[in-house]
Amino acid sequence: MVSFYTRHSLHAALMGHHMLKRVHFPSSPLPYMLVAPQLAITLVFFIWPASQAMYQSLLIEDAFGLGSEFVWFENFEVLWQDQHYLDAFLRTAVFSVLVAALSMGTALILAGFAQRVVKGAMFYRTLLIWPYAVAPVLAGALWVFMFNPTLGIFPYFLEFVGVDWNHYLNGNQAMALVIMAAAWKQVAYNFLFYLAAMQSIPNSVIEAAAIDGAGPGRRFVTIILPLISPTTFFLLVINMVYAFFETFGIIHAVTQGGPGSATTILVYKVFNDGFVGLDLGGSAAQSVILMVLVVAMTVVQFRYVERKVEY
Amino acid sequence: MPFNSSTPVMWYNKTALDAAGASVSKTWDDVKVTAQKLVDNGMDCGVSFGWQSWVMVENFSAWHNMEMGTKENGFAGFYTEFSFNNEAVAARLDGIAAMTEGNLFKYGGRRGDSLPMFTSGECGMWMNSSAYYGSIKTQSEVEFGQTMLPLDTTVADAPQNSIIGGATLWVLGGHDDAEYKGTAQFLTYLSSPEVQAWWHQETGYVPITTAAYELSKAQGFYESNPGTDTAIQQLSLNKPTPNSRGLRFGNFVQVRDVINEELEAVWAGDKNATDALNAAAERGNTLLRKFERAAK
Repeated sequence: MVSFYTRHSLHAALMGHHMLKRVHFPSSPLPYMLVAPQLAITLVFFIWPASQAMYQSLLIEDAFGLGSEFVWFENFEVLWQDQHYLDAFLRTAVFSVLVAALSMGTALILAGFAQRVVKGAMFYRTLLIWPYAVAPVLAGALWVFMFNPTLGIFPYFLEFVGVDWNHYLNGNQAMALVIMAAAWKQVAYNFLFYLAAMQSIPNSVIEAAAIDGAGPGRRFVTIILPLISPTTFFLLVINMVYAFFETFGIIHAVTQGGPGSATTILVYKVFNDGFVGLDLGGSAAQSVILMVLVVAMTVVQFRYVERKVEY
Repeated sequence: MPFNSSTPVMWYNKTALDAAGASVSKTWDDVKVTAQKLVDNGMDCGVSFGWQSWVMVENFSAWHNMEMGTKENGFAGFYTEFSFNNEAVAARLDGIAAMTEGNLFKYGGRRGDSLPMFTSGECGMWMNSSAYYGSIKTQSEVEFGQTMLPLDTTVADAPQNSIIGGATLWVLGGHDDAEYKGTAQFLTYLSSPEVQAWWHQETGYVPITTAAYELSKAQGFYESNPGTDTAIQQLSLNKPTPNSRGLRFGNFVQVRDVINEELEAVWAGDKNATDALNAAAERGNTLLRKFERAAK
């Protein structure tokens, strides 16, 4: 795309040299008015709260916000000395990578199967988007019931294959449960994007490969996967941000970070320390760190992963 | 105004106890014997509990007249230090962890997450708030009863009293007189003997006035539902001491999370109780110091 526009404008510039000295548009307030609502939303709902969080991270405040003391970076220093906080980084990385991989992988497989179905497409696509509309804390509640060691249907079946399910005591089982719940909620969203991407691949390309003797599996790996790589990249960014920021509701409903601290990921600590424990400064400091982390991660993704993407 | 106040009691599955030929436990030694009888008779687990910091650390300490933290459990002011990491609590927790063997004890999660273990008949005994009465009454598939928390005879000869948990209604400043008049009327209504007696009898929370208790008595509630006054008996068993009056610690919500985390390491067999309690007290003290900075 970039090269296309560069070439195009170069061409226009060369042509213009002969015909007009300068191509210029009359200046108008219209473009500014058109972007103004978006800018306003960004300022009010992102820049302003983010700056508030940064300011708050430098304060020590009581629970009601009645008294506060400016302490520079003390809240951050306390965090760096807290081994339990540092442990949460690795846990968050494991959680986020697995949530993204599981939800994107499942969606990719489902979309691969579903793309040929044309009859009733509207109907099943509508049904498949439903889980995306479920609030994270409710998604968590559903999985809590299904996996309750006493009442749940899954532990009942797992017992037949010799698995003693108790995520209240077993940290790995608890982690597996919150990963499944978080990934499940995101599958519908990923599915829609993958399906749209696959349907935009020209049939002629697939047919040509088929004529050359490539089976469905080969066609999927060598034709479809590379052609949908922009979608995969977009979904990777979206899913990582989702796993980092939006999963605290699921964890609150399913494990409350336990057993021990087996499922205490960074964003859950932000939520729990801030909204349950009312440690506003400490929570704000954690959310600033999380913000910086996700910005850095997204930059890395755009710089290094995007290079492998063919548009 | 105190509103939904309760205290932990021991719930038991009467049907299962009778079937196993066991009697209601009064001491922790009894609990172990009864748990063994229940499991031998085919139950999945003997005993479990919820809200473990409140039940197994805070109330265990008060019940045996031991302090949980210095300065009268925080009532005497700031700069308190936690002292629940003592030998008596550690020995009790190690004893419970040992009961994991053979499922005499089974851990079922924080808060009230383990309630289904009791109501579905998986565990024969369950220690948690008296305010689960309403839930148990509607959910339980078995005949149930409640009795006082067990006594650890190696720690004390007789129980002291248990402490309340629950919530309080607050009235905030800065509103019109008319609104305060309405608020006062509402609080008067809520605390009236009729409403309190009804609330107490339906939920298992303790009545907040003596009049409501007397009314429940006059209505014959305790006679037709034996054991439902257990929480009241426990709270008013003896004149409270500085160790059993209650708790007043800053950042206590986070402290309870810390205790939850450390106790779960004990139940999973990752730590012994002494190490876990020492870690919890140390992390808790850090949170206390942080609260003092913020509340200054």
